[in-house]
Amino acid sequence: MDTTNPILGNPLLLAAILLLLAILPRALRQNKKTALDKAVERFEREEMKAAAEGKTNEDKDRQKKPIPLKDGSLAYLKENPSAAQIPEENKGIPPFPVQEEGEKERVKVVKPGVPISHFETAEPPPKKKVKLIKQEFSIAPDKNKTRSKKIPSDPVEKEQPKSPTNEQESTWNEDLPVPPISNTEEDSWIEAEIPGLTIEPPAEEPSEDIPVFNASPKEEYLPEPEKSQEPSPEKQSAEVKNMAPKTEEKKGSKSEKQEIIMTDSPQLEMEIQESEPKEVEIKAPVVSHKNIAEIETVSEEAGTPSSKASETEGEITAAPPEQENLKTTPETAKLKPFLLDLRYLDQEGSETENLISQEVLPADMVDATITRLNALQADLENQLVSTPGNVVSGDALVNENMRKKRTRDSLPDLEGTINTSSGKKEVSLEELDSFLFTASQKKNK
Amino acid sequence: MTFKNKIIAVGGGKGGVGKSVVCANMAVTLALTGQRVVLVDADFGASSLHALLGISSPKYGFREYFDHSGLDSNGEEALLLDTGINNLKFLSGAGDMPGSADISVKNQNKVISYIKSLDADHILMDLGPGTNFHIIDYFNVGGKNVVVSTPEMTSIMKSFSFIKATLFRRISQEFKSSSDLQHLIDLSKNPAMAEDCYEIDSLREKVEEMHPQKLERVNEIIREFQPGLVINRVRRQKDILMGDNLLKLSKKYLDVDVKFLGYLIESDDVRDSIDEMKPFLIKDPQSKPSENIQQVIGSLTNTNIHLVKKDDSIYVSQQIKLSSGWGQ
Repeated sequence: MDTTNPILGNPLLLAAILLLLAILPRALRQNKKTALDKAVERFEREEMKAAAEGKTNEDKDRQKKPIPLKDGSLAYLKENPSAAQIPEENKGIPPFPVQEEGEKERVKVVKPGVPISHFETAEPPPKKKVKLIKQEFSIAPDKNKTRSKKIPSDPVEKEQPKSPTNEQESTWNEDLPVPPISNTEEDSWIEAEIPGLTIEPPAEEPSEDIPVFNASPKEEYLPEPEKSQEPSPEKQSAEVKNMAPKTEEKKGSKSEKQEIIMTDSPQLEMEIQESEPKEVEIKAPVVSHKNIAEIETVSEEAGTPSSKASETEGEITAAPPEQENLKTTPETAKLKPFLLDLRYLDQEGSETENLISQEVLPADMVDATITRLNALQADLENQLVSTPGNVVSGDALVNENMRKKRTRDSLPDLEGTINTSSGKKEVSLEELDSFLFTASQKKNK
Repeated sequence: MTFKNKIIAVGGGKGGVGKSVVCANMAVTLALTGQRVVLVDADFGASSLHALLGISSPKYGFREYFDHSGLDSNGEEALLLDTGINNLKFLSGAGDMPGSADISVKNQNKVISYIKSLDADHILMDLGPGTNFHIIDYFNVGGKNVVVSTPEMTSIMKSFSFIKATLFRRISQEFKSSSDLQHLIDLSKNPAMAEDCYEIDSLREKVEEMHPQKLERVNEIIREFQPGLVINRVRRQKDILMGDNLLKLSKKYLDVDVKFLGYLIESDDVRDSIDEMKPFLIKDPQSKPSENIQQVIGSLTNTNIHLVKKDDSIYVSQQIKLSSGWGQ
């Protein structure tokens, strides 16, 4: 360094100059700020502050908010969220609001429906699954068939109040093989151990893949009186005939267990079917509905199952008015085969040609199955109607959109009145300019 | 302080943007800082400012002032009503009698004269919506003009129209004696000219063409007119930027420098205060909207004000006079 230079030789002066050079641009920038810039900065600061506060509160709230489990029950985390391990498949499900104050348990379960039982899941026995499924389908017991022995029940089951289903359980034949238990990922929820967690039986919550049906009163789904009546012997016979191909198919493709199920207990069959989601589709032929077979045949011939879908629905039950507005779209085309998946029906011959089974299905089961099929249809209709835009058109679409808008607009502001709107659209200066009379006059000139 | 500088006129083209709420709380803030303030409800025909102060039925208002019939022995002094807030007096409007807003020019001048004569440090005038000459003339009485707008596009557009009408009215009043200029400026008398004088540059061109010696005065008027802007009911940052759009448009078409004074956030505190008929600044001077108003007053008076509440009393914890800013 040149020490003879009066500036460079003086380190203090040099440092002061450097400091000035560093500060000056910033100071100049600061001076350029308008009141509006400052206001924006202030607003940003306040927002950040509010966001930081909100985040803290959110963390606190999250501990209070219950976590919905797949079975429809709600698990509450309190104080120490990590204490309750959430099953993997339940992660990411948005929390439900509000926990009641004064709860002392770390994890509490809110009963999603009518309370049936409570049991601990510290070591859930595999058979529990069968039992739970059974509760979903409260099908009338088959009085014609008597089971001599009881399936060994686990201690948990003993704790439960007895329901008609449980009574049946007590008469099951011990020699019967245990119904197959699926180890698919969807069903693994019951096997997950959640320390300190009390679990309710699963709610009757329909999912997209596995429609679950409430055992609603028959009248709700069956307007036609003849369906709700006791089937005549001829009718029963026809139903059995239709049932036969399915049984055969199953025998050919499914395990021995299922064979036994078909020949022994229709109720158990229901349970097994439910435990394996894909077999829900088989439920359609279980009904042995004549019209379904006919339509499926026509549908296959035409090669456009969706175009025949409305016919199917029209024949099974009176279609609701919304059906008139349904368009044939990829959604419907995708959904319809779900309803009309009659893979297990022999569609080549007539209905009577393929009657193999000599079994006579109990009337209760037929009724219950018809009820469930109608429930399936109703559920499917709901799905179709509620699919926005694609399946609703014309006035119905307008009404639907208006309804949704009304619903959205009527939603209360939950967290104050700030930042409640989406705020996606921003009016630009150019846009604003183009709407001014002054601007248009200038343009005209 | 001259009468011109002590009058703060709060207006805006659109109704329902919160002019009265902003004005009332501005007046309260100024009063709490120890200055004598008169709050005037100049929304003739639809007076409601008294409700924001919790005055259920003003005994006197401008209606009594016009005919003097209802005033007691105190005369015009009786018009100034107590508000229960130190240093703050209230002058009620003309009620809600149909036709009250259509006061004669004589009465209007009378009102303006009376307001100018009031002995106070600050007189805040809360105007009604619209851009008619009554409103604009009251607005132009103020030495400081505050335009209140909400961030919505329509509100910004109306605010622009309000600023434009105010500017043109100022020029028109300046050249009352010049009929040809009146034709140019007062477009209500000559709509055909509207196409020619839609913006300030075109007006300047016409003035220069007809009376070049008067152009400088026109430019002076334009320079002197520096309204302040308060954006009310702000919910997000872009709402404040809508105010920036108004500033830019005003500069572009009117060559007017609009000063951004601040904003008020959308808050339940404000709504609650209206329902409770108690200014939110009295309820909680440290709430967000109260802080916003203090910012506005700070910009307006070049001060840094900070109010706090303790034991049901409000104190000024900080009041620093700034060396520079708007409204010197």
